[in-house]
Amino acid sequence: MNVTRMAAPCMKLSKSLVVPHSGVMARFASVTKGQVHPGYEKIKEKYKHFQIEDGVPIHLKGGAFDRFLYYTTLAGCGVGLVMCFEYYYSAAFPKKC
Amino acid sequence: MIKSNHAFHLVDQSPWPLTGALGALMLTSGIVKWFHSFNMTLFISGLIILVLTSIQWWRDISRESTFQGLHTLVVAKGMRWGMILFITSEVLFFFSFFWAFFHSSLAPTMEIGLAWPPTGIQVFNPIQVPLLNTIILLASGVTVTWAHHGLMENKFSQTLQGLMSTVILGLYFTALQAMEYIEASFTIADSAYGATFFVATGFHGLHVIIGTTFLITCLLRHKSCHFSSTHHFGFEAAAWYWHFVDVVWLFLYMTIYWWGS
Repeated sequence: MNVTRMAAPCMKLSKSLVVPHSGVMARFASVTKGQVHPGYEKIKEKYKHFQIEDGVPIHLKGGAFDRFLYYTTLAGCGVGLVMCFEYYYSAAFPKKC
Repeated sequence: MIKSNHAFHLVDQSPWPLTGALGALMLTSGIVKWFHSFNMTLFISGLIILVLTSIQWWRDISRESTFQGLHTLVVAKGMRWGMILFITSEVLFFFSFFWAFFHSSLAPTMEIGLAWPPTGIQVFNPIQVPLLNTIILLASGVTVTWAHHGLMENKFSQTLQGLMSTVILGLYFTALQAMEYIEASFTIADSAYGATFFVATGFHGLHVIIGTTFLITCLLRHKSCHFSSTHHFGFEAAAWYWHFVDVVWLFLYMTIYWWGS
């Protein structure tokens, strides 16, 4: 049995678990060995958070603030739509002075 | 995180196309209401909804690309074509304003004194603020290229400095142009000269503001380590847009400011 061939899918799987996208490791090549750019740690947390497979769509995956912004935008659209139709009506049937 | 067996990105369901459309409806209906009823509320509301939509839509794209790794090479190539086509459409947009300028200036009518600039119009001296603005934008083209090379060579702080310099130059251009607008001795209503001048330079100024905003976004993303030395299309798109804005200004300067004086 070819152990290397068996190991290949495991390597692919472990690669996909290591979150960073292409080139992230290369960009810190200028940092001294052993030192990690502080920004990298922060962004690794972001990767972990947004890659949780919980079925939440991307526009809500950030948390409570996402929901607040979303519902505010939706409310604004609702109110605006009503204002549009109100205006169309008043433009079509102007009040007689 | 890619779970499909192909390299393309099929996006999650998103509300932003709908909210964007509704925002555009509010904006356009709001303009009509502003002109006919002298009330700006609907227009301002439309503007706010469009800004909220843009922020959230582009925020989601950053999440899908940087945090979820869904922008493969194929996806990025599609984005490149998209940006190229968009900038091409903007070139055609400006072409129409240059056409209008040449239509009026190559054959000046009797109403404006058979001359260009029209009789009575005090034009801007092209070797004063307009020349400074030209130098500013040319310099900003250099600084954005510096930033790009810094990014490709993994030099974090040089990229930051290049981007920062580009943004500062962009803001400086906008401030100077605003001063020129305030100091101008003619308005948009002053014959074909005023109309062609303010519409062409006005739309250009709006594009400078858009480009500066795009660059500021790239600056903030760079500070948060979103870009890598090999994958940074958002930055490249901003740089392309900025060069386009610069080239439009060069044409404006040569035709309207210099030849047109």
